[in-house]
Amino acid sequence: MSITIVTSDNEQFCVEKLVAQRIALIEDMVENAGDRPIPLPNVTASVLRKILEYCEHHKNDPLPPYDDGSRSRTTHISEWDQKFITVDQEMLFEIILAANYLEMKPLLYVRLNVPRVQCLTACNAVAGDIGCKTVANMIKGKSPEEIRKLFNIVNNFTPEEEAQIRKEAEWAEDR
Amino acid sequence: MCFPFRTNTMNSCADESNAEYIETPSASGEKDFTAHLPVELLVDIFQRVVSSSDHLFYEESPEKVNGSPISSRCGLASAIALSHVSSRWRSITINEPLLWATVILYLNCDMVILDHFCRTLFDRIGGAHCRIRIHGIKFQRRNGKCEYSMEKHPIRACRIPRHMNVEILRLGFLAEYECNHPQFLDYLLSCHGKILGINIDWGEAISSQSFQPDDRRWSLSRIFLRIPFVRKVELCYVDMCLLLTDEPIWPYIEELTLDNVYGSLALSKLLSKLPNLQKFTLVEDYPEWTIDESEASNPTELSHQNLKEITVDTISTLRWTGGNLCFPSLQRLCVESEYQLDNFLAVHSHVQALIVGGTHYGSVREYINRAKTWEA
Repeated sequence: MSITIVTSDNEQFCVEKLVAQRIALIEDMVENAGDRPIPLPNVTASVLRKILEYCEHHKNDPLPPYDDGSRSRTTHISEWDQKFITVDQEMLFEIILAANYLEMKPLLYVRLNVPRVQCLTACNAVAGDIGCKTVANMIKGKSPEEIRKLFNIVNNFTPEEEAQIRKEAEWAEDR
Repeated sequence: MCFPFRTNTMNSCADESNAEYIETPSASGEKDFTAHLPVELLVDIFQRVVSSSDHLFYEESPEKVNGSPISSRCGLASAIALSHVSSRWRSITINEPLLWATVILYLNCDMVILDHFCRTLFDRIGGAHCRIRIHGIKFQRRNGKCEYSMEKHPIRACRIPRHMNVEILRLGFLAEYECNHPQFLDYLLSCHGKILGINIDWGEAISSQSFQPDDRRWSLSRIFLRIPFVRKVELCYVDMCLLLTDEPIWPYIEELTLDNVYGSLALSKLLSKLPNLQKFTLVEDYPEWTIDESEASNPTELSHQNLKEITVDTISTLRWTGGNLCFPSLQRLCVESEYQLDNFLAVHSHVQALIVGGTHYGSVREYINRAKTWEA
């Protein structure tokens, strides 16, 4: 059985239900949609294609362990996932944002009244893990100036902030 | 626009385990895609950066590398670097206490910098639970004279303010027998925040450079009196020549770890001072302690009514002689050796979780059945 998803740029995807249901938001909408296509107004076709590729690959994976926020967050990424997420920055951040939009965890926990662990989907892993891990790995080992250059971030500190930063730079300065 | 001054660089060897896979996605045009990320996702990313640096830093020898209060390779240095990227990143980082909650600092640094560091950092941590490790604590020279007057001692900058909740305060001494030094006790008294756990570590102390008092006995009570919220105590590489006979009981202590301690240890007497102890761990990678004379001449089995968790190398450490139920509340036992274990478990069959030589068993029955299978 399959369902139809319509992206923000009006492209239609015919997706196996088992795969689509790995995405929490879609699983939520399938019941109410009947045979109608499911609209995803915040996700473009190119991004959805990547997310579905991920869901297809991980469709038989066990659910990830419960994360109550107390565990230290890791940056390890498996080999397949690493290849999957080797994309340009625009796509990387769009995947992170789309996955974050698609999971909508808090709403699910309240409505379904089930333990959080049962609501975690493979889609979470895209948002919460691989995308964020990749960005974290990109940041690690870099100076503020290198980070700014990497992400095209503008140095917009106020003079007061600059004065504070000048003092703070001495805290861990290599001498 | 860039700063005319040097900025810190984060741990460049971070995440070596993953380094072979990393291909950095290229910067696209002039767009800043991080600007679209909501705060919670940026915080998630920042936490990963900081905690992975901390993880690596702990595994390696935490040596002081320069004259600053912290190493440029620890997680905190990563948090500092993140806060120096842009106004938005700064606002997010300094308002996220968890990014600052693991502090490893060194006292042999510029006092002005240390003072500014501690004041600013402790403010950022706020009331969040944090872990603080202070290296390089020393009060006396070898001849017994004080290194500094208390007003000038660098440790004064590390006073824990009232709003803080310190999960564990690790104190790395550079000299032995200074745990009861008046300046150290003054320091503890000046900490008004909640110190829930204390770790006293002499592992970095150099005997030949330490003042050796005639009477080496020291008191835990003098320490506990000054940190009334303490529940967890860890003693690492310390001489266990404790004053115990005239000491009061410490009903508030729930966890005790003795890690590679040495000297004469009156374990029975020590446990009797801790009526509400829940968890006891004795690490013996380099066993150098001996049974105190008072207990060696009249050996008694160790016993405790409330202990729920024990970690020792072997049951014989508990001086168990067979037959008696010594730990009626014991739920979790972790031992390296199987020596005496069967007999001990026959009496302590209420143990719920058992770890023997690194293998986990869900119950005593599971362990015994597996042992029978092995025999068969």
